[in-house]
Amino acid sequence: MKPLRFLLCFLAAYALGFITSAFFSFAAKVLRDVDLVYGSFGLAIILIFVFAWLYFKGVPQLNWRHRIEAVLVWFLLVLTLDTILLFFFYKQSLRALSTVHVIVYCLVLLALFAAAYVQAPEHPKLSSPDLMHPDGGAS
Amino acid sequence: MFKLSKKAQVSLSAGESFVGFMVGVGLFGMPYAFAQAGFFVGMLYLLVIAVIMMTLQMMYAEVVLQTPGRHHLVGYVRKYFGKRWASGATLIALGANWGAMIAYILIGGEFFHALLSPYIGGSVTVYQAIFLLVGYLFIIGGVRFIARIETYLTSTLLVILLLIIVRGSLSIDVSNLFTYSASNVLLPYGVVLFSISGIGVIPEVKSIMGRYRNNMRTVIIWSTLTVTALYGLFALAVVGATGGATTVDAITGLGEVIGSWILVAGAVMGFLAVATSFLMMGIETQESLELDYKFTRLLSWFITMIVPLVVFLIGARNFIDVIGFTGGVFVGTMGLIVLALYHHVCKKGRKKKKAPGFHVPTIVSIGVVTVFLLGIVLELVRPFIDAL
Repeated sequence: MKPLRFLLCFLAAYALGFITSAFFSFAAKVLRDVDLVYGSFGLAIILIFVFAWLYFKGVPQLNWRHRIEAVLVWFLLVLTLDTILLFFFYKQSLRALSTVHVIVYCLVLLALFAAAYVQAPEHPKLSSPDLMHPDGGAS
Repeated sequence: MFKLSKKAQVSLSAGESFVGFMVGVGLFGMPYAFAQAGFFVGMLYLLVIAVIMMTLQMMYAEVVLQTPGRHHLVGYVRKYFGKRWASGATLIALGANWGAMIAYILIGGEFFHALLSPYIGGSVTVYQAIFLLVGYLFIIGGVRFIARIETYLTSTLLVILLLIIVRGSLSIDVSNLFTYSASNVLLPYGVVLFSISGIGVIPEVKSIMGRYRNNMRTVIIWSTLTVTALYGLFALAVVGATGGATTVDAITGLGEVIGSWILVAGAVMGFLAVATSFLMMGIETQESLELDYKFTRLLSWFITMIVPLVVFLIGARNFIDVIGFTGGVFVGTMGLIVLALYHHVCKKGRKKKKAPGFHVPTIVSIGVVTVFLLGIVLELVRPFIDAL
């Protein structure tokens, strides 16, 4: 499972994501262009994909259940840290979140699953037999 | 030359494990609870709960001795009552572990703050947060060497404890002991119950005792008496020396009365003991989730971490309230589970016409159940009463 590798990749992705979002927020304020904030979201998702990809690359032996649990823990850690930052750093409530944030979290989840999928040597198969195939999809 | 028999050596080794397990973070909270409720009220709680816990540990020893193989509390519940009850017992055990971990974070942060804040500043909450974060980074690695260090640290903690008792008793002001507060009279219940519970270590004592396992009851009696005496003397020394100014962690208040050396020695030892206990508790919780629920290391780590983190962030800052609640609710429920197990095992034994090695009259069991049930209700209701 290499938990320390997981933690290192997660922390690197989160710290870099935080720095870039701070930079984009600063740039948006200076240039008075709110749309720049979306750039930080995009970059954060790319960073998460890259570091999750790096993590899964180092643990090719993980089965799908383990991969899903790793994705879940990564996502829940993002949520936890974001909530802590929102409450204690920015002193805001959950009302400050908009539909865009919900979409971004969905994209984060998607990026994590994509990274887990791309690095998996074997991909999930249908648990029920393929009735369209003469041998039930066994081959 | 003076030589101990094999049986005595094994019993001493088991007793050492037992005392080492029982002497923990609750020790630091006891003087404050006693000072708030009244010293003699606290001592009465200590004596009564020590007798109850001793009885309960003997009952659990009976269950452990009558059941072949090595299990933990949840394992015995699964064996005798089935999977559904075992899930409930797991939750109770997890709740007790999480409660203890929050207590470790709070008191560990206090010691950390006492040691470093004179040089680098910062609030207690910041030190508690650092303690929590660094602790969880270690827990994910599953540090095994901590287990070895803990044995030595517990011995050193006992030495420091004796030092504090001796030095503190020289500064006792008798008038400090004659305090009483009716509004805090229930405060020591959960704190004492949390501090004096040795249920978790009984299966280990059985393995240490090996073929001398029938001597377990003597070990339980002597170990519980030793711990009770240590706690009583520690509370006497601290409350006697600091009185109404007794602090939540006992050590910082004592440092102001006796001298800074006791603050440094106590805080260093307290911090190291709490840190290693925190790591051990975290690893134990993580491993039980891995084994019982077949979760991966990562998910087990996350579940181990998230509950104390959320409770801490929501605002649990009062060490006494945390150990009081954990003791009253979770240790109390574990006590009820042990009672149920004991009576089940005795009933099974009676069917086979096998007399139990340790017999508890039904009236005593009813009394213990009443105390624990009242304690659970009290600790659940107390936050609401305090809020009024």
